[in-house]
Amino acid sequence: MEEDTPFRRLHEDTIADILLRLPGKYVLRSGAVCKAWRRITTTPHFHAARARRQPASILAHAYLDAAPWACGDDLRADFSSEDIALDALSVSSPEDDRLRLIRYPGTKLTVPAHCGRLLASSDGVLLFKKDTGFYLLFNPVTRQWAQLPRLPAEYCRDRDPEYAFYFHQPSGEFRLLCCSLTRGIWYIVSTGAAEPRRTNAKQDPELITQFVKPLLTTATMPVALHGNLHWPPLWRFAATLGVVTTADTKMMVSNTVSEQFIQMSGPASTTPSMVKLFEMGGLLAAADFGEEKHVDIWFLEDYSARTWVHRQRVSSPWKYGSTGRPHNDWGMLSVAIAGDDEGNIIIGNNDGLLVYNLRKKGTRTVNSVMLRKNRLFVSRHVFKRSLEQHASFALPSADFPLIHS
Amino acid sequence: MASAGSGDEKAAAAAMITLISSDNEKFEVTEATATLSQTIRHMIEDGCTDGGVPLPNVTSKILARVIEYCKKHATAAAGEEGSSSSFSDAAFLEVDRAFLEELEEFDDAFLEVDRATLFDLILAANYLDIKGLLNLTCQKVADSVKGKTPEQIREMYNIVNDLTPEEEAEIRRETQWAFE
Repeated sequence: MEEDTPFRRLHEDTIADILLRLPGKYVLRSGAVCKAWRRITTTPHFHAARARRQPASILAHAYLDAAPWACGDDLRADFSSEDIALDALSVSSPEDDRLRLIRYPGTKLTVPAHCGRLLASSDGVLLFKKDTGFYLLFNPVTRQWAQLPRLPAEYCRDRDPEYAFYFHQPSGEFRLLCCSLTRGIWYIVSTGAAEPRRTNAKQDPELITQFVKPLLTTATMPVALHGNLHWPPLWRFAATLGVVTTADTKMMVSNTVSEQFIQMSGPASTTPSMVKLFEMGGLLAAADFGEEKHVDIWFLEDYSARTWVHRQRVSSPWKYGSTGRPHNDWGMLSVAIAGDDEGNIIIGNNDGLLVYNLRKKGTRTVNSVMLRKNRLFVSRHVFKRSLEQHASFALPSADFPLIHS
Repeated sequence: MASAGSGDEKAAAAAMITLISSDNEKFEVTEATATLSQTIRHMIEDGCTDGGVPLPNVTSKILARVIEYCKKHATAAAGEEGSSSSFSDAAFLEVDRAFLEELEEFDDAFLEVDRATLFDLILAANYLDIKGLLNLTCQKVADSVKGKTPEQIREMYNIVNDLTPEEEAEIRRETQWAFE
């Protein structure tokens, strides 16, 4: 009997170890085999372990010829002749490993009518702003959608109130950290609540917003690590010691539990507004684009001691004199950077994109993405697939006019 | 490089470990082979391997296979260390690649076992904490499940479907695209 039912001999941890090796589709299928497998494949631990195995990717917008859309004429009147798709390009092989996450009709309006403008990506979920105070969340792997509670009118007076989008592990909620400058408050909108909630952040929003920029204009999406959200340094702390000027920088950090802002040392840089942050192999990393010929890569090797280590100098993705090289924080908006667990870092924008391997010290340029005729535009968004099913998410209704392939 | 080789031999000659299977069969292996198992490595570090290491959860048939795996991969690990410290030229990289291919062939052949043995190997790899072997065997089982419907998986492994029809329908509805 034992020979015939081999899975009964294995501990559930070992079965989990087997099932997390399956592609997403087959993980979901295996959840329909029996109760034990359903239980195993739906625990947060399983999802976390599986997420660690997923390749990191950057998001790119692709422009395509319009597909025939099944929807009402009132909607179709606004469509343009192009469709827009969001593709995930894996950090290690952006040309070969490309996954289409969502495709929707382009519109004559500035903001696409269907899902709105992509604001952020966190834990496998994309955040779209459909309208003022109206946000949609989409997991392209499970194809489930959720809405954040619509903001009451008094919250809708600020132009770009969104500062951070993150997954709050203790509550299992996706949260959007916002600031109302007109009212002088910070507040949180989350999937698990009916209304926005004011935080008790003591600091003055006017002051904090000098150090952090909203999602729409920040060069780096705040990086979530160890329960903190990290913004890139914006200013140099010009403490002068005699005649020597130090290159000390400070980053703004928000703790997702206490919801207070604190400052933390950033990597040494004389051009802090040209620094981007990213996460790599469980470490907070920074890339300094201040120099013309190279990019300096730093790692926060000891998080509690705040020890930044300059680990690598990578040749610039842009040819000497290229106009594509960013010169200020606005130029940094179009620059992508992401790392994976195999030591690969993807750096650059549509005028120069390369993959650098920290271990093998090798560099590859990503030519196909840079070709204008391919109409693919890299973004600063980073994405990792997740199969985790969250309480407030549901499948779209049948008339939801979106193609996902 | 030469010193690394003779060092290995010296260590090998100096330290042999006796592993004792559940059916009381004794296996003499080098420390380099045995320490691919984290469980045994810890025992060696704690100095409790005198008189042999009893492995009450592993039969002689499976232990022999596990040792075969460890022997092959222990040489691979030694080779890797050598390559990073002493060699960097292209000729060596070629050799390295050939060796890696050989290792892959070994792994493929190693997995040509019946199902009961495969699961025995998983249990042994888990108990002995041999990461490479656990990876290899778990992946093999995962590959056997990949591409199958839930019905096919149940049939293949004699798994009883204890989900209620409602639960099953609910799962399929939630994850409809995975069944297309």
